[in-house]
Amino acid sequence: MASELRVNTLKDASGNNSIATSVVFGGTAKAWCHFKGTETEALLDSYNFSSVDDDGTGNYGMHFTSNMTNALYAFTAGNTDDGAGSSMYACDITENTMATANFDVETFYVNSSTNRTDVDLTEVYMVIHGDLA
Amino acid sequence: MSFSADLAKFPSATSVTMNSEGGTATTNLQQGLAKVWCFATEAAALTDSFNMTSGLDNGTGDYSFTIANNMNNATYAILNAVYVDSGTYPVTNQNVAGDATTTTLYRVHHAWVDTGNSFEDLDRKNYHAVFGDLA
Repeated sequence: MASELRVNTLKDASGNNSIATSVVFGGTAKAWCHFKGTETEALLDSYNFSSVDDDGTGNYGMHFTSNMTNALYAFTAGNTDDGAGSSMYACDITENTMATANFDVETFYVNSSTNRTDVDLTEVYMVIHGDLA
Repeated sequence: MSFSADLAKFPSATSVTMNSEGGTATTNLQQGLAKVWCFATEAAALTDSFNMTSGLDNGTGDYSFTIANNMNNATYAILNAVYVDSGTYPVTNQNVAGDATTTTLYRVHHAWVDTGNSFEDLDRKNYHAVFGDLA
């Protein structure tokens, strides 16, 4: 049976480790995912992401299930190296694409002989913090 | 039964739902919490951590980290950053060795490219956070 708690502060059973519920709510990630970026793109595991679409090599569109309240949320990401031992891989947000319902990202690599080059990666991770609508 | 005793049952609930900041949606508390995090040295010693048993230095720029309470699957999200303590490493990065990820362990690889475009593995401090489902 569902129940509702209305409290301003949480403490542990000993009355220690006090934390305001506003901090808990504000600090909770509002979305995260682990997606496959090669072949047919797919969310392998996620929360509050509805889909990922293919916008070209190393370019992806990320779509929320429940929208954010503004486009000022924080984005953090990680990715695999796909087993390559001589290149560095990364993921960043595509400029001017952040919206309340979606955003675009790019995955890319650099190495000793190649400047930034977009590439599809097998595994990409991202987490979103901010305010839900 | 006391309120504290009732509250003690709280974590056993299937999920905890919170109203959104904007008031038009809800969000799940458990899904939004980091399940593992750590700050580890260049030698993979855990300086500070949550839900992590140990780190292992496999070689230059190559580390494995063992999770204390297992994840439910190997499709969790791993965030990582690398610490650079001098200006001699203009581009540094840390990637996950995806094939090595299990419910109890993940492996990362540090590397850098210098101004002369040399690519090398690199021992540096580790910062990680894991989001996903606990077992």
